[in-house]
Amino acid sequence: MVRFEGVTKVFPNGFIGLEDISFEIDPGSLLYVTGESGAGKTTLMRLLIREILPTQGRIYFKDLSVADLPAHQLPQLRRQIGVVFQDYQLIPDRTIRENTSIILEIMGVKSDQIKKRVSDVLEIVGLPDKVDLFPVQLSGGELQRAAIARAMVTAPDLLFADEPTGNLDEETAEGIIALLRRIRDLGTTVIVSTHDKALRDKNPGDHLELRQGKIVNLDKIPTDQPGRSDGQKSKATEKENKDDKKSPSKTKAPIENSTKAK
Amino acid sequence: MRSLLQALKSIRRSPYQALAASLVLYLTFFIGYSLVLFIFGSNKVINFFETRPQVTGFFDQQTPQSLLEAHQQRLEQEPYVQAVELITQEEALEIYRAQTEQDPLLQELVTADILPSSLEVSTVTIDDLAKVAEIMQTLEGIDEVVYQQDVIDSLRQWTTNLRYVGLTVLAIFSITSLLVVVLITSMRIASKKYETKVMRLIGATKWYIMKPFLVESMLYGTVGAVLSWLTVYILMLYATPAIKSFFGEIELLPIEPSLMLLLLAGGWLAAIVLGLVAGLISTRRLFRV
Repeated sequence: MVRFEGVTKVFPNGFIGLEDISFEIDPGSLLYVTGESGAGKTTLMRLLIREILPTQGRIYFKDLSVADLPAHQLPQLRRQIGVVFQDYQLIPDRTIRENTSIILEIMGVKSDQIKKRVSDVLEIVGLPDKVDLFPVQLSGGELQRAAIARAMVTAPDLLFADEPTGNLDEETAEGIIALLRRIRDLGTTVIVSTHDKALRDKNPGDHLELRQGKIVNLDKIPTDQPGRSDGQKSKATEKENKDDKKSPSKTKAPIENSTKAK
Repeated sequence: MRSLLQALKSIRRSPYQALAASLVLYLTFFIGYSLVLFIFGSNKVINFFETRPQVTGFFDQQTPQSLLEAHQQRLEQEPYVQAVELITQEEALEIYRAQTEQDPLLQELVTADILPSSLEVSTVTIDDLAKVAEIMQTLEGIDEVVYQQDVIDSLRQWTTNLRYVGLTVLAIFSITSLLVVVLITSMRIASKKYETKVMRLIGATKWYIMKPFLVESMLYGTVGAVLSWLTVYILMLYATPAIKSFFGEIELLPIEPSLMLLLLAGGWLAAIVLGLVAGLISTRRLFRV
C-alpha cells in the first residue's frame, strides 16, 4: 500500500524532518506512528500527500511514485488518502455537513448520493445530530470526529490520522481510537500518528517509532493473526531488521523493512 | 451552478467591494457604449455630407440650357460621380423664393434672369471632390466653382480626434477596471486562503478552486455591462427630441433595436473576457506556492 525507500526530508532552514527512513505498510494494517513533537510524524503525512517533496528517496503509494506524479494527478492521489489533520482543518464558515460533503462535490458525486453518504458517515462517527452546526459550535472530540468523517467519506484506501487524540481527554481519545479501529475493520488501511505512546500500548496494532526523524523502533504483527490486532508482536530495531533479512523463516510482517541497513 | 452560488454568497458577504468593482466597470462600459454610438453617429453625419452635392458650379446667365445639359451628361460619365443635378435659372428662383419667403421685399427685386444656373455634383467618395472641381473649372460658361471639402475635412478631423480621445479614455478605464477587479478578487482569495489550502489538501483541482473566483469576476463585468447599456439606452431615448432637432435632416435616430442588442451582446462578451482575465490574473497567485 505504502512504501518509503530511504526517504530524507531536509527543510529549507536546514532542519532534518526525516532521515533515511524505509518501511512498508500492507493493505488492511493499522499502524501507530509514535514519537515526540518534531520527530517527523507530520512530515511523514505531508510527504505522503505530496504537500512537500522528499529531499532524497522515494515514496510509493499503491506502486505509484508519489514524487513523480504529474501535477494534474495530485488531486486523485489526495482523494485516495483521507487525512485527519492535527488541527482538523475544517472550514469555519461551513457546517459539518458542508465540510464533510465538500470532497464529494469536488469529485463530482451527485447531490442525492452526497446526501446519503454524508448522513451515513456522520452516523458512523456519531455526529448525526450535529450536521447543521458550524465547527466553532463543536467540542474538541466532535471536531475530531467531524474531521474523521470528512477523511473517510470518500472511502479512501488509506486514512492518515495525525495526532487525532492530541487535545482530547482520555475517554474521548479512547473513543476516537475505537472509531479508527472500526474504520480499519471496514477495510481501510489506517495510520495513526501520536505522541502518546501509552495510547498505542493500550491498543494493538503495528508500531513505528520515530525520534529526531529516524526510525528507532518497529513492531509488527504477523499476518496470520486474526484481525492483526492483538497477535504476537516482534520487535524490529535497525539491527534486528538486518537479522530479519538473514532469517527468511520469520513470518512476513506487514511492515517489512525498518530503517535501511547502513 | 455551485460556482455561481458561491460567487453570489461571496458578493453578499462583502457588498461594498462588489459595488466598487461593478461601478468601475459600469463607468468603463458606459464610456465604451457612448464611444461606439458616437462613432456610429459621426459616420452617419459624414456620410450625409458625403452623399450630398458637394461641388456646385455656377454658370454665366447667358449659358444655354443645351450646353448645361451637355455638361451634365459629360460629368455623369465619370466613374467617381454619383449624381449630377441641373438647377436652371427658374429653379434657382424658386429656391431663392423659398428661402426668402419671410421677406417679400427681397423677392420682388429678384427675377430668374439675374440668377445663375448651376450643376450640383455629388461624388462617390470625398477624395473625388477635387477632381470634379478641376473638371468643372474647364467647362464652357463656368463662372464659379464652390465645394465643401474644407467643411468635411474639418468635420472628419474633429471626429477622428474625438475617437482617439474616446479610445484613450476607454483604454485607461479598461485598465483601471481590470486592476480594480484583480484587486478585489485578490482580496477575496486572501480571505479564503485557509479554505483554499484545505481544499487543495483534500484533493480539489485547481480549476475547482478557481471557478467561483472567475465566476465572481465575470459577474462584476456582467452587472457593469448590462446596467451601463440600460443607462445609455434610456439617456438616448430621453435625448432623442433634442438630437433630432439639432441634426435636422440628418437621420441619426432612432437607432435600430438590433444594433442596440448587438451593442449589448458585444459589451457583455467584453465584460466576460475582462472578468475572466482579471480572475485568471488573481487566481494565478493562488497556485504559486
